[in-house]
Amino acid sequence: MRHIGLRIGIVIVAVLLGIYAIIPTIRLYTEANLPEATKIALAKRAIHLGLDLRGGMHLVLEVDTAGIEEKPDDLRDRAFEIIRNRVDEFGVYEPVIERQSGGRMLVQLPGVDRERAIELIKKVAHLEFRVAADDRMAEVVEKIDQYLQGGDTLAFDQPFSSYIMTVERDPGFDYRDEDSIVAMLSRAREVIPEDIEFVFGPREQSEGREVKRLYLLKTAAELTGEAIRDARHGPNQSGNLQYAGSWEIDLEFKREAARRFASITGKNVNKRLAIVLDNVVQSAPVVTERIPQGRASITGRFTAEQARDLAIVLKAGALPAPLKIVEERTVGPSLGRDSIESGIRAVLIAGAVVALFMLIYYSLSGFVADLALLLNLFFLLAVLSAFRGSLTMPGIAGIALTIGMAVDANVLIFERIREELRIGKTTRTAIDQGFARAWITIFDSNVTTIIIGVILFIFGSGSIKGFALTLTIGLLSNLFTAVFTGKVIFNYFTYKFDVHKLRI
Amino acid sequence: MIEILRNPTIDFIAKRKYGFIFSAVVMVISLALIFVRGPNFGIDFTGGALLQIKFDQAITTGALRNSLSKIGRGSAQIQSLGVAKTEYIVRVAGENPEGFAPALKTVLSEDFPDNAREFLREETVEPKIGKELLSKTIWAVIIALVLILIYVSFRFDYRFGTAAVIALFHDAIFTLGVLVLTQRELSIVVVGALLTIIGYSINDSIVISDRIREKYNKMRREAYNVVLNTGLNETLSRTVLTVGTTLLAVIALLVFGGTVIADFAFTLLIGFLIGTYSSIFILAGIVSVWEEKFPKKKK
Repeated sequence: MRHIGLRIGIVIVAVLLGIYAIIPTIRLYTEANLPEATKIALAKRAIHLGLDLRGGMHLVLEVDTAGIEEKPDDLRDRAFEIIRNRVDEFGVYEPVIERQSGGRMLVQLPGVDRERAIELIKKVAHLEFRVAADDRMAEVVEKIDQYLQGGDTLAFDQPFSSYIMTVERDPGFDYRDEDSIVAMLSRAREVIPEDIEFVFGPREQSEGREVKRLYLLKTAAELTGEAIRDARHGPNQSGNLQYAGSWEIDLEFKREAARRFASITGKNVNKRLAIVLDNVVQSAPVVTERIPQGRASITGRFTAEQARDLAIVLKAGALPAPLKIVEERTVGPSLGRDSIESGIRAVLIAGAVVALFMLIYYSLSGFVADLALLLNLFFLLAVLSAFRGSLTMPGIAGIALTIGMAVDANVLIFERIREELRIGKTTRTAIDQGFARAWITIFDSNVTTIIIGVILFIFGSGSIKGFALTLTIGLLSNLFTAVFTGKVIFNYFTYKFDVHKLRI
Repeated sequence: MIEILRNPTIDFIAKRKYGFIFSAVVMVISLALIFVRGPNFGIDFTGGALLQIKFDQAITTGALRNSLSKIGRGSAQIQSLGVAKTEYIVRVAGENPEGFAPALKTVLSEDFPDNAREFLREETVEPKIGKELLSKTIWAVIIALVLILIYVSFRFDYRFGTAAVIALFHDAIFTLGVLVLTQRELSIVVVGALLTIIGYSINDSIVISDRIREKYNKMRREAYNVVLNTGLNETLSRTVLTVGTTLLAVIALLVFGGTVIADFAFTLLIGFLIGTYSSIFILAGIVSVWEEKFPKKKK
């Protein structure tokens, strides 16, 4: 009965600490209508659900530095900052953006629309304002036709001009002919003056056909995306019926750029000024007068969502180099929900079956084992909360496995106590010796599994870390619950009720 | 008091040769499977793409294969989940996985315009990343083995240590053989399960050899094989109970844990069974043979 009071005290203090640690988690996941600020404060001290459980995407990105002169490290730094700005502006709850070894970056976005998020992250968003050279269109097309007719260019059976049709007063072509057009333009490169080039519009529907518009633009950009100070989305105000009901992106230029924009528009009245995004002409309005306010808008068939995302990427700036997704793991919200449900069900069923078995097999002592098991689960969750650990599907599997393995300690102890009782020891001696003898074995056998857990945590990737975490915490807390607490309970009850015949 | 085994007196050591024969046969088959057929490495290691799709209405594997052929991915692995024929996992391995998901989505909306579908899971891994993960995993396994060897060598007498390590490799190879035979996907999570099995196998060996050592000191007059048998029999009810409860938990995972965790739970189930068998027949068997050939017990 040594220090029974002290030992009971330790258990009580541990339980109280556990309750303190676990409260934020319980509040976060059970209380509805929490204010946003409270939610964020609670989340800092609560168990974090892995992306495989809450749904969302996990991306590992690599900057494609090939063919760019700038130092790869600088490129990566800039790309990282831009992605961070874009993701911050995107407004998802608890995003993760981290640099990884090898110049990669990790982006984790819980519960987002996959296609939209990828578009937002991967879009290079290189914006240019370029003056159109509509007056030279006819001349250049004729030159191309002549060039392609002569000599060794019989590969093209139709002249270039025959592909061109009219799309609402603009020249354009059937999008299925795009490959032929690109091939012809590339072959006729040398007759197209260097200061101008052909650029296409987006794919669109016109009179029942899928078409693209064709623009002839000056090669040099008058202004680029760097000129932008702010970008917002708003309902279309251009008055152009074609875009009625769609959204636009309103741009505000930096001061210096605003002055240049005024002078560009002043010099090009009655010409078209094309807004080119990632080499696609979004719109090419005719400049009617000098625009001194330093504002412009990109109109097109944008939905509110597209316009909003485009405003975000334009404001955050263009990527210095394209990004490549080298790893993606996306879990839809319904699979996440299913996983939580089936995970919790598996844990509850495993727990209930094991607890019932212990109760039947060891009678009243089985109840002590069940109590220890319950405490173990409680401490496991409390420790996860305290360290803001994340719970993944393999993590839930780790919990289920902990339930199975935690009982091992109790089985070892109880079998020992039974043996001691069998050879005629008194209840109290049998309990003391049973615990003492089983302890070495329990400690030893847990150590190897903990070694594995730690290695998996260090070397494992993503969700497997969750398994290592719950298994390791579960086994460590098991040493406390099954051995220490279990003994306290036995000692206390045999002492208090003066038990002479142990039901085990 | 309920007891599943009341003072069992099974002569395990006498039956060791059946164990050896069985294990030797299984080892040969497993190694042949592993090296000839090869594990079904998941996209985690090979690189590739995986889509888990849930359709509104049932659809046949053939129809799905047909659509895949149209985008030049006729060799994709198709796995049907459940009996309703509405949920599938489609996997392709190798280079340029990024384009697979968009192409599949397009062809599915063309081929099955009236059968709404949801993409539950989409994974893409570049082969380069897969290779890195593979080497990282191999390192993790090597380090785990080395640490366990160190632990075992200072914790056990060298005979038990060697036997425990042989049992450990036996369990890993056996389980891997079953995985190859059933063509289960070898993913990073399954490797985690294999390592867990190794930990569990050692755990079992420790409990049994602790008891044998204790008996060895008490039963100085008995033959060595009697000591081994006594140790095994005295720990038998513990072994059965622990494996029983652990398996209950694993079976709950397998049955109720959903598709994501099924391969993991299956691997644990097989491995734990093998681990229990090996710590009785292989571990104790090897030690008894060793003692017969090179006795150290004083007569």
